Order: sequence, then structure tokens, then C-alpha cells
Amino acid sequence: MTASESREAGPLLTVIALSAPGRRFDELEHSLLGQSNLRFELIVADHEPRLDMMISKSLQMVRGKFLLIVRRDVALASDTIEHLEDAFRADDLDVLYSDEEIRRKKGGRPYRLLKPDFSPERLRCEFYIGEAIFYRARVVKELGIASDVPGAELYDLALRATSGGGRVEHTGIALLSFPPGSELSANRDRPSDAVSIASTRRVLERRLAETGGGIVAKVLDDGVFETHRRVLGSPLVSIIIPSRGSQSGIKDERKSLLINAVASILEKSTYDRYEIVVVLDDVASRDVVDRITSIGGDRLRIVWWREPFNFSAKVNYGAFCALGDYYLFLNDDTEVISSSWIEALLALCQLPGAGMSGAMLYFEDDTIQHAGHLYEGKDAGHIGTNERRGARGPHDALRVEREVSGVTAACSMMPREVFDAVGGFSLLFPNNFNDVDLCMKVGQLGHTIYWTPRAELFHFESKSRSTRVSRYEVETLWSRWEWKLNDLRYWPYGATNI
Amino acid sequence: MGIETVTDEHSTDNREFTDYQRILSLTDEILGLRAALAQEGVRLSPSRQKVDQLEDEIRQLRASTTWRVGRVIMLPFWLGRKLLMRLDGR
Repeated sequence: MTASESREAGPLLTVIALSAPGRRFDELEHSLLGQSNLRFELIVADHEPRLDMMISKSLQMVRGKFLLIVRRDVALASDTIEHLEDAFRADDLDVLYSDEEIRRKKGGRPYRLLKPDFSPERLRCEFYIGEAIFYRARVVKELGIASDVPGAELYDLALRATSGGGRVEHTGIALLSFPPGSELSANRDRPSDAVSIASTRRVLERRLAETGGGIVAKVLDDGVFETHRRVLGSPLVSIIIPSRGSQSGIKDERKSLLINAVASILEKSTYDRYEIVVVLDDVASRDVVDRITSIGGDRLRIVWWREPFNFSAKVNYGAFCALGDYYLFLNDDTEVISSSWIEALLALCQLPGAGMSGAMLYFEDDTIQHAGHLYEGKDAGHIGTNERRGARGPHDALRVEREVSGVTAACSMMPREVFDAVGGFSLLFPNNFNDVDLCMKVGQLGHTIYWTPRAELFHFESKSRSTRVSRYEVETLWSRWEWKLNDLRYWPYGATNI
Repeated sequence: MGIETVTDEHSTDNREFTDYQRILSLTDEILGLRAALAQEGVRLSPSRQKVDQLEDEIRQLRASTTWRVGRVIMLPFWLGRKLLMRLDGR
């Protein structure tokens, strides 16, 4: 083990480089010496049979205030130390992670690896942070390195350090540059053998047990960990469906959208405690009412709407008539695919601080319609639209449960208290953007919004209403939320998938 | 609003919904006003991260070929302008 010391009193940054046969750290050393502020120390850890021992022994030598652990020949951006000094000036900051660059073999503009802002639920589904993670050294020393999770030590450390109560911050500046040929994903240390897969499972089981419970369904060797939150108790869920009771062509067949949606809920749903509140326009035919009443049975309640169309007012009325602790807003032009869709939405909605949860919606042709909202360039759109079903998305984002800026009201759940606290759907938006406005309000009150790929439905988008967006709606949205309509916190990849 | 008014029970519902709708609307209005206030706040004081991001973008722009080529193209004009200003100052 060797330690090279910087000049000036007291190093600010300690880099532990985990050595292995044939591994060199030329770029790292070069980049450290090129720092504008030379207050660092480099510890090259070797001569230990196990990674945890390597890091533990190195930790005893650490004198720096901030700590970086690397296992590749990364280069640090020239002003990294100054940047760290600046960021860690806030006493409550424990962890700072950054975007990355991956150098190209023949020079040229490096590939940029973008990361979302801190997303703890996404972190239990994939190690999206990767190696570009700077710790307050004291925190790591206090936590220590787990010795019973070979192959998952760094993931374990990241999970524990980010859940200790201190603040975790993300910077969009690429502080680390990776050598050419590095994988274009932060999750390079994914579990590749039976030992590391078992370790990752252990790490995740502990993590879930400490944070409200959950199940580790699968640990895949491509770095996606199928972990589910558990539903707490069995609260009543009110599925609120505003409808005109109209008919439309679905899968080459003309049928009632409402009956199709309700039938799919009753057939497929495994969650037992739910009611269906249909807010039905009084123009609906007698036939639709009779059929829906006969298939819905005791679960179904029809409330009549006699006013002119206003989506927001209709849903608010449905909420008023609902008895559940959780509201599940559902368009009538939807069809349930996955049987545990209610459980998936509910488990996320029950997380502390949760405001809403949304689903994965597909068009009739099996392409994605919605995988979360994207607010970019003063516009509101959908993530994943027109991607094929099963697409991974940038850094597996379409396969994992994650934090989002917003979700569509075509299928979303929220706790009743949150709905009331934000004033429900705003009547200022009778047709469009009512869900965008709702999500903005939920976010404004400090609640988190989640999205899950485990709640899958078809959405025969706008088969039951006009798609025209009026100037008034756009202007109203901007007047309220223009400053928040460029929100790349949880989807930094922009409208185009990588 | 939107409720059958054939029985007393329904008219009670109707009144209650009107009250509920008013509460929702007022809450919504408060949040709207709070949003407007926050919007002004953002306009008046951009966050540190935003400034960092903009600085980073400017750094990247200045390192780009487009910027350098543009500078080369504009150089004669700038020099000419400088010269003219100097002559004007005499």
C-alpha cells in the first residue's frame, strides 16, 4: 500500500485506488497532479485478498475530508477539489455524486453519462450512481465496509451512506472521466457471478428491511434488481373513472370503453379492497348503465354528471363520492394488463412523503405511451412514447421503479390527504394539463412522485375525448408553472432516448 | 352540481359537494399564488446549481470548434472596430 502526499497542510481529498493485477492508475495520478488545488492524497490499495479488507485497511490511513474510491483508471476534472470544497461547505452534505464522461479511443468529444438527482427508490433497483461518488470521509469511517457481501461492497456502502440522514447531492458537472472502452452505464460493477448476485440480494434485503420493507424478486446480472415495496395493511382504494359511456373501436372491435375498462379491472386485479366510482355523464345509454351495473356488482358505484364537460370537476366529484384512503384515477379508455397493478401503485404511494404514483401505459400497438412525465423546454410530454414494449430506455430507466417529476392522470394513484391538501384537480384546466398542474402542486408541497413499470395497462389514448390543446390552457399552465417546466431532475436524458 | 335532486339526501350531498369544491378551489388558488411567488423568487435569485450549469455550458461552448471558427471570422471586424475607436479617440 502506498500513499503519496500533497503539499499544503491537510489534504482535502483522499482517493483510494483499488489495485488489481495489470491495473494501472496513470491517468488518475496525472489528473490529480493537474488539479488547480493540490490538497489531496492517493492511496493505492493492494496486497489484500479481499476487497473489503483492502478498503478497510486504506480507511485507517485516510486523512482527507472527502473520499473517492475507484477501481478504474479514471481522470478527475481539473477543478474537482475546489468543487468538492464548495459543495461540502454545507455541513449536512454527506455524499456528492456527479455525471461522468467516457473518453473515446480516437479522441473526439467524450460520451456523457447523465444521472438523475438523488433517487433512493431507483437506487434499490439499480446502482445508477456508479463510481463517481464522493463521500464525506468521516461518514465512511463511521459506517465501515461490510465484510459479508463480497462483490457488492461498494453498492452496499453507497446505499448505507445515502440513507444515514445526511444530504445527498448530484452535480451535472462530470467530475470523473472514464477510460475508453468503459461501459456506457454507471452500473459497471453489476453482479456477474453467483457470489456477487447472492451478496447483492443480501444487501437489498437489508436495505428494504431498514426502509419500510419489501421483496427482492430477482437480481439480474445485467444490473437490474427487481425489488418491490410491500403494501402496508389493506386500505380501501377508490378507482375513480370519469366517463361519457361512449363506444369506440378497440382492437378492431367496436365496444364500450367503460365496460372494457371495468371488466379488465374486475377480471385481472388481485388486490381485494377496492371500489369503483364511475362518474358518468347523463347522456350514457341505458344499455351501458345496465351492463356496467351487472358486471360491477357491489364494488361499483355510479354517480351522475349533469354539468358541461370538465375533466377536473368530474374527477373532483368522484373523489368527493369515494370512500377510500387512496384514490386511483383511471381513464375509461384503458385496459388492465398486469394483475398486481393496484399493489404496485399502492406500495409506492404508501412510502413516507409519497404524493403520487403512476403506471406504464401502452398504446394498442404495444408501443409505450407513458412512462412518466417529462417537463422540458416549457413543454410537458411523456417519457418513452413510441418505444417498443420491453425497451430498456436510457440506463434501464424503463425497467425500474423510480422517482419522476410527474405522471399522467390516465392512471395514477394518490393518498386522499395529498389530494385534499393540493386542492384536487384545478378547475382552470377543464381538458388538458390538469394532471401536469396536479403533479406540480404535489411537488410544490414537497411530496415525491413515483413511477412503476409493474403496473401495466393499455391506454387507447384520447379515444374518448378531444386531443386539441387550447391556447388558454397553455397560457394558464405557463402562468403558474413556467419556472418548473424545465425539470430534468429525474430524467436528464431529454426527450430523445439514448 | 351534477347530482340528482330528487331526494333530500341528494340535495344535502349537493350542498356538501359545493362546499368541498369550494375548499378544493381555494386550496388550489393558494397553491397557484404560492407558485407565482416562487416563480418570482426563481427569477430574482437563480440557484447556485443553475449558475454552475450555465458556467459549465459556457465553458463547453468556448471550447467548441464553432466558437473558435466564429472568433477567427469575427477577428478582422473586432480589430477594425478597435482601430476605429482608437482613431476616433484622438
